[in-house]
Amino acid sequence: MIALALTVGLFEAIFFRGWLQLRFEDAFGVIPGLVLAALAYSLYHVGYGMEAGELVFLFFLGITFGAVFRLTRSIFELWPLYTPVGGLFTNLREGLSMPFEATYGFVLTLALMVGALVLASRLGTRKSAMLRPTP
Amino acid sequence: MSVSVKDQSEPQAAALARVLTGLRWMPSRDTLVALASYLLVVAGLYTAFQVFTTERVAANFLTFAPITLGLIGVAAPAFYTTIARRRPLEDLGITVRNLLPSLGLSLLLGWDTYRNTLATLEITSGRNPVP
Repeated sequence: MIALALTVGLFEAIFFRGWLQLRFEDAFGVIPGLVLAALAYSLYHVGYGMEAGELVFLFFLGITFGAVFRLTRSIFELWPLYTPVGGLFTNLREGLSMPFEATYGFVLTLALMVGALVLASRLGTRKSAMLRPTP
Repeated sequence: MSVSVKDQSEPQAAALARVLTGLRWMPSRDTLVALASYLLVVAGLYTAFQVFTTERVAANFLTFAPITLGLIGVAAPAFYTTIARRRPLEDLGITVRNLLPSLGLSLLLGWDTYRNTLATLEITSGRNPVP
């Protein structure tokens, strides 16, 4: 359950704050970016089968997370110490249960995410160096 | 030429107000890619939980975790940012800049959330945070 909260927390921090919110901000401004990202965060929970009342709550939660993220534009304001705590609470309160083997799956997914970030960073740096004109 | 304090502060205040309240309409390729990735994430989640459902454990897990969260949600934005846009991961908020203040605030908010949520939860027997 902790592995699930950490994996989903990292995904949400990068995808909804670092990716969507900052792209929307570039396109439409700071406040619209914050609101649109919160709206996207709320509506994506439809996929989990959540109802309208919960979506409204999630919209305001998205505003809170987005505003906190915007203070330093760092996902480390949200992950791993803040948002996974709430996620873990929700899963426990709703009585979600999983086989123990699921832990391995979520740890592997977390490793896949971190590996992808390291690889993307290295490939990006190499490509930039190759394209830089030599003196 | 002397510049008064008022002359210096007014443009800053105007700039701040513009940043905070300013609406603009400058959608770019990045905006479209972000929207497309969002639709893919929603479709991935819907497929995992509404089509496969938790009854089909393997299909549900693979669609949800490695594919939707890992590949579409994290790897795709990261590779697009660094390879296609040649921008650092800092553009995704992944940065060690302000690391200590960020972690400090995170710890504070995490503790407050814990006090108001997990600490109040009665975990019944048979339900364990470690599955």
